[in-house]
Amino acid sequence: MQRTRLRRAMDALITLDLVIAGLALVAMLLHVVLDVVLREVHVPFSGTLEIVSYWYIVALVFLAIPVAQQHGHHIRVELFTASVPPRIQHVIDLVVLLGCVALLALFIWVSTEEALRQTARLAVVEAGTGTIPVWPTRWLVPLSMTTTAIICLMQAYDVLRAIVENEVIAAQPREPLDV
Amino acid sequence: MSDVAIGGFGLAGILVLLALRVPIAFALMSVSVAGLWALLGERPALGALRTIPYQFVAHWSLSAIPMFLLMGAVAFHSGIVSALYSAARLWLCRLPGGLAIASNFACAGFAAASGSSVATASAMGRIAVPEMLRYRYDPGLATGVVAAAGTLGSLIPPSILMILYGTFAEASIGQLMIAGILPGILTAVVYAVMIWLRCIARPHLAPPVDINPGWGERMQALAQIWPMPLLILGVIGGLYSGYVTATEAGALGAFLAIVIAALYRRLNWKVLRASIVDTVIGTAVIFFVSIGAVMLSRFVALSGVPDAIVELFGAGGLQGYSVVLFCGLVFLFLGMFLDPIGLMLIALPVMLPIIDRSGFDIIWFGILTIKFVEIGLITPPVGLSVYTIKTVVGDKVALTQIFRGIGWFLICELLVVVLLVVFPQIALFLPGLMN
Repeated sequence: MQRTRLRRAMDALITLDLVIAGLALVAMLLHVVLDVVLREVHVPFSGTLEIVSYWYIVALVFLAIPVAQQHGHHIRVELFTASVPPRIQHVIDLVVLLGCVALLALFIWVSTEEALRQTARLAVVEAGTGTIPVWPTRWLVPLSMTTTAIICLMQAYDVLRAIVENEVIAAQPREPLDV
Repeated sequence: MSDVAIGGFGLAGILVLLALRVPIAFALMSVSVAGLWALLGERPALGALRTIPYQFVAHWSLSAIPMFLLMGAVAFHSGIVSALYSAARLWLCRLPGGLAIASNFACAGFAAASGSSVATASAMGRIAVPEMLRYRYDPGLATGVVAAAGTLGSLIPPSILMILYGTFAEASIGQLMIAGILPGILTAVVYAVMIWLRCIARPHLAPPVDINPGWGERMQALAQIWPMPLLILGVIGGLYSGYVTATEAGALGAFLAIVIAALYRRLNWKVLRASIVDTVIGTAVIFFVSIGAVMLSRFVALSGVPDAIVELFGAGGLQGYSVVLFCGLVFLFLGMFLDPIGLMLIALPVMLPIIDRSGFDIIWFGILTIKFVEIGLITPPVGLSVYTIKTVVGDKVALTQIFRGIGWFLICELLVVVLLVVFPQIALFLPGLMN
């Protein structure tokens, strides 16, 4: 019961991440198009470069990394393990997932430190005549890595249970991405 | 242990991790952190992890990636691919091997809207291959043409691979994309001529089709795709004139693609949603691997591996084309199991310092790199693009048949690469006109 609640909460969080990342994408598109149009009619419009670089793209990338983890989209090489028996594959997957969690833990630690540092200074970048705060988006890094780590742990749990109960998790067919 | 040895072990470690199905991004990051730790100690290693990811992502020129991905996704989901193929088919079907030539040029056309070769190949594979098989085309030819022509997606602008190359090589992304135009067209034409000649020599490869479209029908099909040249001119023209940056060109292109889809009543919530979700996830995947690659670049540079490789070539050896050959072989090897993005991002940290010292033109080498990457993906014994086509066509065509069909296209590729090496102007002529 507890577990399904956690899962439902994570699903909701992932959906929210995806929605915000999608909004950041659309905002980036409209903002850049507007900037080009306004430049054409000689209306000064500063800060596009900074807002795109420090807000939209950061939000888009870091919010979507856990989404890609959830759906197994992060690129990996399937060729060598294709003929390995599923049980051994599961054991490998478990070790790999736990290794990823260890790396992510390190990542969360240093990125949190960095976010705290930037927040303490209320970091900004100069844009035209004014400044744009950039410290808030620093927090997206630890947030993103924490979400990804939790997803990895949940995936590790599923794999462990499959190993213990001698089941085989059907490999999800990975849709080729548009890249 | 010497620094170079640490670097060498690191690179070998990446291959081992990849073989164990570690996602590429994690493999690159963990090896880089561990390697920097071994080389310089704890603080620089953790410092890289602390600062690189954010600094790399918060980057204006890289924001071109989601914009071009969106443009391609909208073009794909709104059905431009099938419209392109139907038009090309009506115009070219009477030629010997007409359907294959049509697929070839439809791929080239779609490549101008999409930055990706895998997307181009899989989209065309679903539409064109079944029809060629229905007309009893040789299965090797039918699948080979799509696998090979799909690679035009990364050569003809826009191109995600070029944005990544430009960022890592600190070369102009606009110039790179313009440089890809002529080699892309050249490749498509060489393919077409080869198909045509082969089908004349061996007519059983491509039996004549019973389609006999009138001019009205042909014009009607053309009317369905007229916005494509508009889209292409908008993006390429903007880049060429230097009036817009790559990001702006991408944003305008994506915007135009959405407007065009709306005008043709192909735009609905489902199309828009699928395009946005694909773009968002694709962007995250590319950037995550790229973060790992930036960290790897730092580790590899500090370990001195590129210098060691340069020394292996011996003094003066670098002037020759041995470097090009070396890079080609490395890409060929890595292309056996990596996808284009991963391949590019793992190889560049080692290659770029070498190329830098060799004195070759960085734009020209970029075009060559894209060629190598794409050739690596269709070369036997294993090539990932071939597997993409295999997934699309299912059991109808055996893997060996696809590889056999690709053989002729590989010869064409070799010809184009030799031409590019002998006449660098093919790539450099257009960007040279830009300033």
